[in-house]
Amino acid sequence: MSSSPHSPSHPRKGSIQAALGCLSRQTERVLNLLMVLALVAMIALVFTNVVLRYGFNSGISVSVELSRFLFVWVTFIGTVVGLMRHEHLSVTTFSDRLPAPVQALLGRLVTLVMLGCCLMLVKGSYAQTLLNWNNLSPISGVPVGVFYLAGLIAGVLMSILLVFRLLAPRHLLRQPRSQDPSQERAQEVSS
Amino acid sequence: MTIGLFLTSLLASIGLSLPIAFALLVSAVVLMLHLGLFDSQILAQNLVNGADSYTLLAIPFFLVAGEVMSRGGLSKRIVMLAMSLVGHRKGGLGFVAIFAAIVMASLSGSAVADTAALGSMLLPMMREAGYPQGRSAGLMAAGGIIAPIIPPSIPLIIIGVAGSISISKLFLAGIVPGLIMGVTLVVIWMLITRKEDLVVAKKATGAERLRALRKSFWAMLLPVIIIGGIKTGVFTPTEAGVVAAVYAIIISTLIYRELDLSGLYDVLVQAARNTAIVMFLVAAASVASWLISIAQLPMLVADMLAPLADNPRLLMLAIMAIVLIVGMVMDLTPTILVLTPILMPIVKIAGIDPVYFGIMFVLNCAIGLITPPVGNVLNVITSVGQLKFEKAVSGVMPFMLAYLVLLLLFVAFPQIITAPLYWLAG
Amino acid sequence: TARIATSLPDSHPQTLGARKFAELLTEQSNGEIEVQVFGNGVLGNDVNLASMLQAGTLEFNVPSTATLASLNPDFSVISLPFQFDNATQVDAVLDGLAGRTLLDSLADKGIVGLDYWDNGFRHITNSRHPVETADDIDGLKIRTMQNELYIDMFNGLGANAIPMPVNELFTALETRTVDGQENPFTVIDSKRFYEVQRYLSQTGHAYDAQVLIASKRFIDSLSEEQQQLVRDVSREAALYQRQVSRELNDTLLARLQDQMSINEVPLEERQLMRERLMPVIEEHRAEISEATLSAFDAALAESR
Ligand code: NA
Ligand code: NA
Repeated sequence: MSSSPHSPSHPRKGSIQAALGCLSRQTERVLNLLMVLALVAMIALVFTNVVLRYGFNSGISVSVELSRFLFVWVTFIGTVVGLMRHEHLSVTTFSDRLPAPVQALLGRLVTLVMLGCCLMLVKGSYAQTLLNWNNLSPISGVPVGVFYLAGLIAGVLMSILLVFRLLAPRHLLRQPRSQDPSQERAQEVSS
Repeated sequence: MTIGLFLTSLLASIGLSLPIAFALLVSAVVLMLHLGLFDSQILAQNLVNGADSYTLLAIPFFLVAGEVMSRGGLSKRIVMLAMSLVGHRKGGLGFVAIFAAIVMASLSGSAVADTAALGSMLLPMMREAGYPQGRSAGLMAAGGIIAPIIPPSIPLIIIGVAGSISISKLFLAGIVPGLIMGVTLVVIWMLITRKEDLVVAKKATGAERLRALRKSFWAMLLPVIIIGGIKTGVFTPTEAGVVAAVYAIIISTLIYRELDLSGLYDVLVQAARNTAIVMFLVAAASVASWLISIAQLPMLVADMLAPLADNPRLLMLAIMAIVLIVGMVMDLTPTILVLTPILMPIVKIAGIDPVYFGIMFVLNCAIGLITPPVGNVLNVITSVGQLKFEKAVSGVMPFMLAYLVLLLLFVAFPQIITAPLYWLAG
Repeated sequence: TARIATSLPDSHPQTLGARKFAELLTEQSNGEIEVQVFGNGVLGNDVNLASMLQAGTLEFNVPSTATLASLNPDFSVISLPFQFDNATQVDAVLDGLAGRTLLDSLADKGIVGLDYWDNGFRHITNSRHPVETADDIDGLKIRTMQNELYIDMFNGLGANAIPMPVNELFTALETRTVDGQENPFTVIDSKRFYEVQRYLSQTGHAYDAQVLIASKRFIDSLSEEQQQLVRDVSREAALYQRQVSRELNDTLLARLQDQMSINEVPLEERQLMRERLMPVIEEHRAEISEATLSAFDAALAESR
């Protein structure tokens, strides 16, 4: 811990902001890496199976099960990243027309509602993870609880993020939308 | 009553700018409370089970293929080919856009990605050549929504899973209506540019055309592999997706050499993020749809629409009206996810071909992407073309109206879709 | 209200049985326990549904014993290949102590096992050639359930076993991604596999039972009297379901003749298949508890 001599117990706002920004960037980087590894593994598993089936009339029977596990994990990790980057599809056509103070209030309300959903996800998937920890997948033998663990971890991470957004003063929050055009596309690609 | 409660809570949450996936969860929780079975495990179970599907694995695979295509130089070569073939005609750049839109539609499954790629390449050229800005942007938007109709298509995969419809058949069934959409655009564009005096490109020589064709050969082979593979039964849609992804990666890194390792990493990150955005919607919708089933809403809707069941065309017209209204304010994916489980039972009762229904549904929602007040493809073209939303809306109007006429035509004559399907599916 | 969910279509005996159970329980409890039926997998697949039961978010469902094997591997004992000769034998073993003990083993998983239902003997269909001899299976790409016993069984017979979710199966058969699949007649019919498969060979390689299970959380919430009623009604529904399923399997054999080319498989060829599977059978028996095996073997011997 290093602190400036002028404010020994109270770091400046700027440095908190910088530290938080750094933390969120590092988190995103790690999550990105995990997603890419899972995605590459999925491609490799399914593609190898296609090649084996047509080329050699054989196959890896765990391929389907493992790629489903990875898929669920990519989905939930990516959901967290999507929330960090404000990329989840939403309709702001109507709320944009509201006066600024009302918009700010609405923003808090929306965050609160999302937090409620995430807490339900945490509670429910915690119970499901425990319940399914001894249920083994028929082929790979991986506990079925590993599926729900993805939901649990995503729920916890999203809850932390949302609590922070709810409590933190405005100037500590990152700008909701960056100007990077590739991000713009990311939001809408489900169409 | 229950339907009203569900729809009100969903639309209110969306209107108040809650992300749509969370709005679906909220409406599911409202149904839980209404039915007296509030339990966080219902949410967790269905959210996780909804994301757990082998069939939907096709989504990340096709997203990887599409993303690699646009950043690995495949799209560029397709536009260059289009330019050498039709660039010299009157209103030429418009025909280039339509041609490229159709070819890119057969490589990628997402309207928004295609519109962005087309618009960022062609709009600046069209502006420079003095084409009317609003109309050009409108054409790109209208061309972009061919992507979800011609296979591969992420919306067709989603409706296939949501409605238990054969995805292979949906893919084959989308080819002809997608091409008809392209022809429609050609006709409208010809009418629009008939009177205008527009600069045209110099006619390409035979040798130039051959070169463009050779350069784009590997890109043009991809749709042949996908559609041919599914048609002949070599691949399931999921396998076709993985083959497309691997193929696109190989072409762009080893043959075109436009994507290095770090570029590929970025592409994979992007594809994974996009996958998660779509799949979280799917997962959230499956929570809502579990409660919709428990509340027996599909039966209520079937009862309501039952008087129309004797007349499939009239029923289809009513359903299309509902979908159009919902699609005006809601994005394509959530519209499919919310309405399919509700409408599927009555569609089956009325004896409507589910494949035909799936194509019509997706076509209708795709048109919703270019209608105000909320149209995601319009948003994209507005930002890519840097013009006013109102201008994009008026620019797209003639194309959108033509598509609506097309939709009515398909309601009146389902054979236009079903006949080629059964010929193709053999 | 209570809910019973099934994964198979409305025309399949699984859902027919569920309707009967719902009707009987609603009626005989004088509406105190009203039961709604959700067929056709609208609430999820068998694995999802079983997990909902454990959590108490769903009251009843009817998974295959192959699904229950992931909760208790001993359930595999029922699906071991070439074990039962006929339905009478099946009923004797499953309704006896061996079957009952298996049902009771689910209690510590939050599940009350009520009764065995019939899904019938499984047969092979494919699009290449009739399976008349044990050698005919060689090299066929056969879709199996995502269950280790079935994968090993078909690989053991010389096929290339391809585990795949059932909702992808029709398309895979239609596009010839796989050559064939194996199921009882009722599934072949209700899933319309006859539209995309030419040959049906009556291998009867394994018997498939389904189990009516209830959520323990739900059963515990009922009065003693109501719990007894559930058991009585379950028995009545099971007898009805088995009868409907077996009758339907018989009539379907006749009806499917019009759509497919059906052949019987000679007894000596089925015995040859069984011999080839001995290593697989031994391997899977080794994973089943000693108590279950001995009870099961004794009941089987007695029923012959
Ligand atoms: Na497409
Ligand atoms: Na719209």
